[in-house]
Amino acid sequence: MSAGVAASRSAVARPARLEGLRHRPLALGVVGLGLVGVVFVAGIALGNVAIAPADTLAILARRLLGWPLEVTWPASAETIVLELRLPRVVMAMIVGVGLSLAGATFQGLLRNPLADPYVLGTASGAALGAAIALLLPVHVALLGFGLLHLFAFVGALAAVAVVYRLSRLGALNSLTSVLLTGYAVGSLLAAGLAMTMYLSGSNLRQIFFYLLGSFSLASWPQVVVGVPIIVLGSMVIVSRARSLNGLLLGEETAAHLGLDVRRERLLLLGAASLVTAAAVAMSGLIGFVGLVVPHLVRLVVGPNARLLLPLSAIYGAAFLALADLAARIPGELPVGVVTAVVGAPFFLYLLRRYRAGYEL
Amino acid sequence: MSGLALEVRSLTVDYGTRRVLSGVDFSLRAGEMVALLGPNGAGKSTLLRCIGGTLRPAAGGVLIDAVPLAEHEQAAIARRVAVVPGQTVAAFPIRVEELVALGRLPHEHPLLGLRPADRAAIDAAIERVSIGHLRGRDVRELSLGERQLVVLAMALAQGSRLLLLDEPTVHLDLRHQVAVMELLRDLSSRDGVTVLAVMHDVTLASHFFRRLVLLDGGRLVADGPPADVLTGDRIQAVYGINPGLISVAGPA
Amino acid sequence: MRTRSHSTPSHLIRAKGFLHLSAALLSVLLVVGCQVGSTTTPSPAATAPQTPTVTETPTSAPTPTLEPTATATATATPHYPLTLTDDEGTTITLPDEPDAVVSLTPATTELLFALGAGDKLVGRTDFDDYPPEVVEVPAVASFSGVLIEQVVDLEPDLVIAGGNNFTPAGDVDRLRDLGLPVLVVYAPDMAGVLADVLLVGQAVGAESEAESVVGELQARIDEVSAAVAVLERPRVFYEIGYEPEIYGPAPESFVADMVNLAGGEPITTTDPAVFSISLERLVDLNPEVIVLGDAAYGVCPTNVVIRPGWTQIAAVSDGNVRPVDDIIVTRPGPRIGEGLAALALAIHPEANVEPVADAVELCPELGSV
Repeated sequence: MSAGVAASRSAVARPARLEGLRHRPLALGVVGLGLVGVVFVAGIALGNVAIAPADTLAILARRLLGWPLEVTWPASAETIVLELRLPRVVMAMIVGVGLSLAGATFQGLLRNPLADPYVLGTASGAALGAAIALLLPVHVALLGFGLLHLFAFVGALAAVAVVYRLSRLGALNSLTSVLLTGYAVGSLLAAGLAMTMYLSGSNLRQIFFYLLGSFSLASWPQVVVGVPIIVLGSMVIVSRARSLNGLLLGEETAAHLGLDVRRERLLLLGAASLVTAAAVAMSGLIGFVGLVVPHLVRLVVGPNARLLLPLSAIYGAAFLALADLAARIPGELPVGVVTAVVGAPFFLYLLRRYRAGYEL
Repeated sequence: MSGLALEVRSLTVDYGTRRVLSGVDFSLRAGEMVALLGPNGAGKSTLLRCIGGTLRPAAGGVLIDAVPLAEHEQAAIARRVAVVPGQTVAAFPIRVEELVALGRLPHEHPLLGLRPADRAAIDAAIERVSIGHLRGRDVRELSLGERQLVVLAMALAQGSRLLLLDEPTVHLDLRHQVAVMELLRDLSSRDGVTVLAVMHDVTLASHFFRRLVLLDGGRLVADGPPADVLTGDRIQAVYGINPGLISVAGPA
Repeated sequence: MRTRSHSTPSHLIRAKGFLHLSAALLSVLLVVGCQVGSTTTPSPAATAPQTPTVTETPTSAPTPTLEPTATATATATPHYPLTLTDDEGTTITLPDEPDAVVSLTPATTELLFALGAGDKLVGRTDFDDYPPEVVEVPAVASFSGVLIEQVVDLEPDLVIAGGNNFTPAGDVDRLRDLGLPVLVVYAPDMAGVLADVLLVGQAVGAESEAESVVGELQARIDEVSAAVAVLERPRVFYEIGYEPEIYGPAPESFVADMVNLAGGEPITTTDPAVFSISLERLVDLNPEVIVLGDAAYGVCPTNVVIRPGWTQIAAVSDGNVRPVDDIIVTRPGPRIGEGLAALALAIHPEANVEPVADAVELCPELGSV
């Protein structure tokens, strides 16, 4: 096979630095956490309104750590830092963690490099739920969540459930059928969404911005409710790293390697869907994070889920918080636009570079 | 070690209304190396899947080391039986040593993952199969023959006493076919690993295996040394062709 | 040529369309809400706990289609803390007269200046363009929503937002959660505009100015009503847009109300939630006058006559296609009286109505409106 020659060429061409990183996953993790820290601080210090960094730190120290500092800043600065920026950065990071882990899970579960958190119709289900909620002439707001969030969450989970039943994922079945069912259900829901948007009248703009994703309305009540769900789902996923590894060569081989494939599949599917549904309900449809971050990490450290998952989570958090910052500064771009602008070209580059490798 | 490593008792499997295996009975002693032969659709792969624990029979059972398979859970089965799949499809780039490492999955610590003992087993398996020169290479860039060796190493890393192989020589060139066969013989005679391989190549099987089990239409029709199993009449009856038989003196 | 500070016309048209033409669900609620908030108490709100109602003395001139549903008290001295009910029925309490006001609708911005409270304006939207001095005020809202950080930073005493999702409901809630008093205004018809003038006037401590603005508006309305009462009422199609579909007023919408007041029979779409009208329906209903609300985007009578199939329409064949400045016609602010006059003159060029002050030049080949 001619791949032999090409293979040795690529092995030599592989940059030594990348090779070095591969064998130092811990260093990568530490750097990632450092990046998270930097982005966290930047996310709180920067925004549309200029607040002196000293004031920002003082506000955080005084309110979060309880230091008795003299108040030399206006009340609005405190509101901006603590009520607007801090919950927003936290939410962006947690959603980044969730989407990256969900993306890595679906890629591993479906053994498809093009899988992302929305592959089983979650996106369309959530969008349709949100659109229906906006159509109803009821204005409910509880704990910072409205009908929109609830319907989006339910819609996302319902879509996955439907895909699951329809593709009879229960039996050891063809993955192609799962993907196709997911696509079909997603298309159906998208049609429903189009219809709802047509009927929605003045709410069209809201649906539109929901579809693009945004953290602009992040608030502490939302964080308190949404974060535990994502954290719980993420912990389940990370705990099943071994199973994801076993699934690398297929479900038959996974069973031969001692995995209870049915149970693991259910656990992974359920956790990833829950995480995706919560993320989508809170912040709309943010694309490319769940697709690109796991790929990037896999490029460096390989497919071992024990490394892939934690590192994807860390870099996913940093990436999305950074994207949100980039979206905020020019004046509230939807964050989904920023992730697409960054993610799409990168993804094309990935496809080009590893074209040989993605044949199934 | 005496005792039966593998017992298949009256195994019957149905796919819906179609009976794929009926009343298959045979057993293997520890360290035996047996080839499973038969035309397409005879039920060979199905039989292998039953022994590997991923398919439940309609009737009958499989015993491994005298313990019924049904009483084991998947992880326990994996420690006793290793299956070498015929075809490897990896969706993502994966290196040789990473794939071999998958064989340690049944032994991995839930939190710590691979421990020194696991790494030693992986290295040993790589050495045993002589693919040390392929370390660091992406499995998907290897030739089919090399890939088969890697998967074999993975199964070896599993450390199980019973090795099942599903058509291990299908895509291999002559050199690799012989390499795999000689390795199996080595494992069986030197390491005492019990080997059961589904073979499509009758000639190759008759040369390297001392005992052949022949399936036809879901039934076991012959079980014994190649000379007894592969008679002209039987081949005609099972495979539907009129063979010319050549006896070659050599290691059998 | 005027400049518009927003993006492509088509979605502005849509935005305006949705603002005004989806009143079916909300207008019912709002009218009910206004009714609830406007129990006609004859005595002014002298005691603090009582909710002062916005009452208006009924006008003597005959205005058959105008029934104000809200009323205003004629208190000389504003009394703070002041409790108000906005157009969505939410109660707001203002502890003191606001010094810093953020306006999230162009109409409100205009209104604040008309009330002499322009110096209180600290934040506006991207779309605010009148009066010209507003450009010096920082913009804190755009098509994508409200820049909440900026609004908080301005530390306003009052935020006035647009109902019916003109300001996204989520942003309104967020601002309220952060402790800012937000008054939501929404005028589904002319009466609603007058009510909002009084509401805003009371909120910023400019009641007497508000009443005089209302008086002027009412006078203009009366002038127009009187002038068109003696004329025939033609079927009028107010074109809001032409591509990709023909957009016109929905039944019971603001524009339909305006056309009515301006002495025309409005041709509307089939449903309050529908904003487009098929050419078939338009031809069938055969308007006698077509008013081009999209004139500012370059749609002039000369463009209309060449549209395929349109010559069968009476308005086109008789040459009764006229442009109008849709901003003053549809913006529910202090220039609405001029808007009504402009619309009336577009429908009835011969009507005895004072021409619009500071009219914008549209479709120069026809002369000014």
